[in-house]
Amino acid sequence: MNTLRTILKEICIALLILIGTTFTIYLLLGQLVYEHHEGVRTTPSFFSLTADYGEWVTDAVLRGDLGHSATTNRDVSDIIGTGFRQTFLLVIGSLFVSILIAIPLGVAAAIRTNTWFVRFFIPGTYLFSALPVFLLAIFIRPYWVQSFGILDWYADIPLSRIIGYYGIPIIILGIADGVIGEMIKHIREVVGGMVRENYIRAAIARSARISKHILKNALLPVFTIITSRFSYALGGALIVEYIFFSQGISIVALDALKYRDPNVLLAIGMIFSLLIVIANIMNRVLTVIVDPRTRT
Amino acid sequence: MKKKFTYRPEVFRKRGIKAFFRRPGSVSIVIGSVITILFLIGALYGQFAYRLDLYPHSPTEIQYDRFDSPPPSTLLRALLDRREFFEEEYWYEYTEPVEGHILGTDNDGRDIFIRVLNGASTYLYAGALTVFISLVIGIFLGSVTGYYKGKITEMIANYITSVLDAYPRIVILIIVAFISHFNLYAITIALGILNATRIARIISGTIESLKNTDFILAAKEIGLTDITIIGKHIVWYNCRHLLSIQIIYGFASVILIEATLSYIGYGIGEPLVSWGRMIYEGSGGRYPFNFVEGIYWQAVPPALAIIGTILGLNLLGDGMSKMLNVKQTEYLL
Repeated sequence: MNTLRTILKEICIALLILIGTTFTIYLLLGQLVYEHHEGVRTTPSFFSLTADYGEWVTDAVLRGDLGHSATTNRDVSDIIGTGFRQTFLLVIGSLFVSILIAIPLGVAAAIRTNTWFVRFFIPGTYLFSALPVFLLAIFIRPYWVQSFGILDWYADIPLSRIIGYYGIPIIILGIADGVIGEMIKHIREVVGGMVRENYIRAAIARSARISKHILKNALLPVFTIITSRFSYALGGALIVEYIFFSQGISIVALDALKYRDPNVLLAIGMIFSLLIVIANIMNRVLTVIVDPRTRT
Repeated sequence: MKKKFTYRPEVFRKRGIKAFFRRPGSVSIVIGSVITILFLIGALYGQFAYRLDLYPHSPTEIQYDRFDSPPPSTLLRALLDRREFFEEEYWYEYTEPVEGHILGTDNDGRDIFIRVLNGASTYLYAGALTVFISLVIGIFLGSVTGYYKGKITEMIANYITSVLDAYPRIVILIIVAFISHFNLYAITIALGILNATRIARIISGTIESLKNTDFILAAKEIGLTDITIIGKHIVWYNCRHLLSIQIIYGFASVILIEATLSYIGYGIGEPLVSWGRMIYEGSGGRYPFNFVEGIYWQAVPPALAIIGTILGLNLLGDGMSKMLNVKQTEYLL
């Protein structure tokens, strides 16, 4: 009963947050559209925008209808659905890449302090945290085009080429923009504090396995960083998509902005904030699973 | 003169350069502050060098040296006097690093050296505005959420914070940039509002941990107002080290986000110099070419400037958090 109530509460809060984000995006996008009153060109007023937003929300919730594009008259869900798979692949893949790199390095830095490896490698992570995604991407892109680029999807393509085609953008997104550096810092601190505790020293003394405990504790800051960085990761995915691929959500969004097509942008913003909210809820759930003390 | 004895624990700590370098984080503080000071000097030089006659070129001045007629920045102009349009030299008006132009010129014939330094001043101004706005909003939201727990104001402030957290940043920022016609102030205000949540989280966390301590209860008992308690005793005495680190990280994030935005063409508008747009123009635009082997002098200096500045600011913030013994987890959420 209690868990059901907390779940309902979480869902209500998430819906309220979603309404807040989409409403402000709607107000901003209202400035893109013009109305003509007695020969004077104005942007729609706050009240008419609010009424329109109510209509949009009822349509979206009751019928799952996100409106249609103002330029091509296609359904918005149709336009977005094709491009969205690529973005999702990029984001999820990059998060996995950064976790796979950050956890071993952070744990190594925490356990083996004062070795040459740690002394020279950990400052190297600062360099990666100073690299913007787009800089690394435009540096790598020419070489990527030479070896993997421009796939002819109707021909027989070797698997290695497809892996390279998506893998290199995913790795770039996972490495750059400071996610890895931040993760390594936090994991190092948490695990370093944990290794000095008595129960771990006792476990080492009786030669028990400590990898489970260490991994459990190293995962906590990773979850928190992923959720607090999720909107950055989405932005980075847009940039990588813009530089590497000729189709995708970022191109759809920028075209919609250029041709003043608010419905498409609204749907993109809604889906992104939905993803962020889901990531927040996931973070809370996973944190409770890993560390039951934090349950409230 | 006889010194009055007061209890100051830091007196017993060793002073001097040797003691400073023995503390954790000292090396990164030194490197980071050197880079930051270079950034500040570069920003001042880039802003005032042309006006004070220290450098012969201004960041927006177009060089006509190699041509009799102005270079065709637009296709329209090229079509108007079409006689030389197909001669190669006419539309390649950039120069490599030569004497007079230390780092060469860009596609419009503007001096790159002074443009890179002037870009630093743009980022300094934008960063200062953003950090100021995010401090004001973040301190307000954080103190309300932390101090008035369980009241309706707290719920509203908490709701605003979580909504700000759930925004897809880049979508909001490109919309704001587009509808404000790439106005500096609109972009910085939007960025500042979006960046306020971290500061709000820090302050509400600190207030929650300090709320039931003796000195806050005593201050309430004396009859100090809530504003004094929050502003002086919590934010100023107990959060300023956290906030100073956040300010430095805030500058770094502003540079990162603004450069990214202006790379896709939605950053700060044209008369102001932006490193991201310089990289966009110098690396071949939408489909970048191999700028390291090709026209290396256009995109490499702003790229190095971005990497160097963010590296320096990150090092400074990290060294400060090590030396002040701030835990990394303390300013995460």
